[in-house]
Amino acid sequence: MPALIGIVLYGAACYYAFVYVVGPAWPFVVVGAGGIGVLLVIMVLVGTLLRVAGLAAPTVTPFDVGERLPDVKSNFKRDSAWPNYLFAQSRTDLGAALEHIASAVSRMWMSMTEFVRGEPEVLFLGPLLLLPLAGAVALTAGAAVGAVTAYGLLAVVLTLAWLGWLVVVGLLRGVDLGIRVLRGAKATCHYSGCNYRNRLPAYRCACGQTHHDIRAGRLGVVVRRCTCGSLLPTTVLQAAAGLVPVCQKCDRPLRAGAAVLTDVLIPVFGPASAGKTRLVLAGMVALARHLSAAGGSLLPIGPESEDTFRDATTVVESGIQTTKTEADRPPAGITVRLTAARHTALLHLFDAAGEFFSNREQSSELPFLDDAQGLVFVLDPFSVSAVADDLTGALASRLAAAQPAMMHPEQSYLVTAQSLRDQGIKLKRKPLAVAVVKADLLLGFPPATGLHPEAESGEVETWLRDKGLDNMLDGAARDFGVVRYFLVSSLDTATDADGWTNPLSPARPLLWLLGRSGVSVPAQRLAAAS
Amino acid sequence: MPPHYLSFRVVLVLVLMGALAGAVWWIAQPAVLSEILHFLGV
Repeated sequence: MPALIGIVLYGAACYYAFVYVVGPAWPFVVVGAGGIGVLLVIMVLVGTLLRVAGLAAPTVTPFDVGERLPDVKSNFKRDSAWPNYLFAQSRTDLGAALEHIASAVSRMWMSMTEFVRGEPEVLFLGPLLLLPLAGAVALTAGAAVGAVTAYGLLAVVLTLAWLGWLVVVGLLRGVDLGIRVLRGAKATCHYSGCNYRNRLPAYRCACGQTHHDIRAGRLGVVVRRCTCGSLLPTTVLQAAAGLVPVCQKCDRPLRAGAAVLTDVLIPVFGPASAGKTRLVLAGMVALARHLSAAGGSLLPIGPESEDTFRDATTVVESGIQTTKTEADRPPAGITVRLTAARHTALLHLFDAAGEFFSNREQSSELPFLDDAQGLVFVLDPFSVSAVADDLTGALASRLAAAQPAMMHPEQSYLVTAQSLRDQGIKLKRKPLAVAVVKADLLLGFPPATGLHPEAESGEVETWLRDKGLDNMLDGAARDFGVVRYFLVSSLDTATDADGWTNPLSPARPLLWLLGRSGVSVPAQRLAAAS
Repeated sequence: MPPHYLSFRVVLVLVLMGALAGAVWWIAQPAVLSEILHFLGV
């Protein structure tokens, strides 16, 4: 009986508690707890973003970019630099805040459960327990709604920032590349055995770190911050102003102005002893004088090119013989910086030993042939049978003095042209200058009938056909987009007192190819002279 | 740490604060407030 009375009284108490306490209080509890849930989300997010102690997310450093950012389509790993906030740190911050929020809510539920387990007598409070339960549910719901809203809002902000990033990066890259393409700028490695050429060189920070792709992107829009803390530009045009350009293939420093100045690459090819080196040396000195006369300039770039230019000047001015080019390794390029008519360009002249052109295997070791703006083929007329046959008897000494090339020009041309075709090089897009050298030894003798010091391209071509080189000439016309013939004497610069080149000058093939590459050098002073 | 990390974070915090202020302003509107008070039974 007393038990029954107790149960009835407990039931009545529960009823009154539900009606007079839980009923009026639960809306306040739900609204209050829901608001606390929303505020919890906001406070944790703000605390995480402002790096309040205990809430700060781990910092994404340059050492994490390999794991945190997608791989790049390149032979190299992604550069080591501080990533843009949008691509790694934002996710880390928001993820850390979400973990803190989830942790707080779950801790609340855990503590409530543990309290009930530890103090089971509280269960006798009956309906009154509905209030903390409703509060916990409301807080959880408030936190969920707050998180969805806040994260949705932040996602919109970050997406807008990402779209802005996309536009700015696209503009910067487009303008940077567009200007360089219009200029015809490329980075050419001048080191022997490398000679790699592309539009985007690597750049080396002052700390020694090499950045293989300096362009705007996930590592920075307007500037990027190197691991060492230095700020680096994100366009090649800006990077060229203060950073050292580096070859993407051999990691050695390139010439100043690489990839931003018009880059003209002219390989000179032909058989051994044809006179390629002489043509390059005399042509370079003649070009320097011609440009100087035209108000421009030519400066060798780098110690090797400076030495070569100095030696070339000595060799040409003193008239001494040229040393044979070493055939044991691929050639190093001679780089000169030339200015003409407000146009600045880097000209790379590659002079490989003739042996490199004698068979396909060796000529494939000359990668600079792939991407040249034009080529110069050196044709030694004394190696043509029809010419040599006319120099007999008293004229035999003339033939000996000419030191004819070891290989017939036709064979040399066909082997090289075939090699270039095998490498997939589109020769039809390239001009070919055929330089018939040693004119100083040829003119005035019977084999030179039909030639004169001012012979035009057509006259030189006709003369070569008369000497039985139809096959080679027809092949050249088929292979290349345009072919022009020059009668050249590389004995000296063939310039007048002011420096202007005359028609026999070894600079003439170079001037023609430069003009076709967009580097317009003022024409010779023909009008003034006549 | 690059300064732009802080700039981004400050912008995000300002957005959150702005959203919170907007929510408070919306709740303080008489129509919304009366609905809440009605729900609370006040």
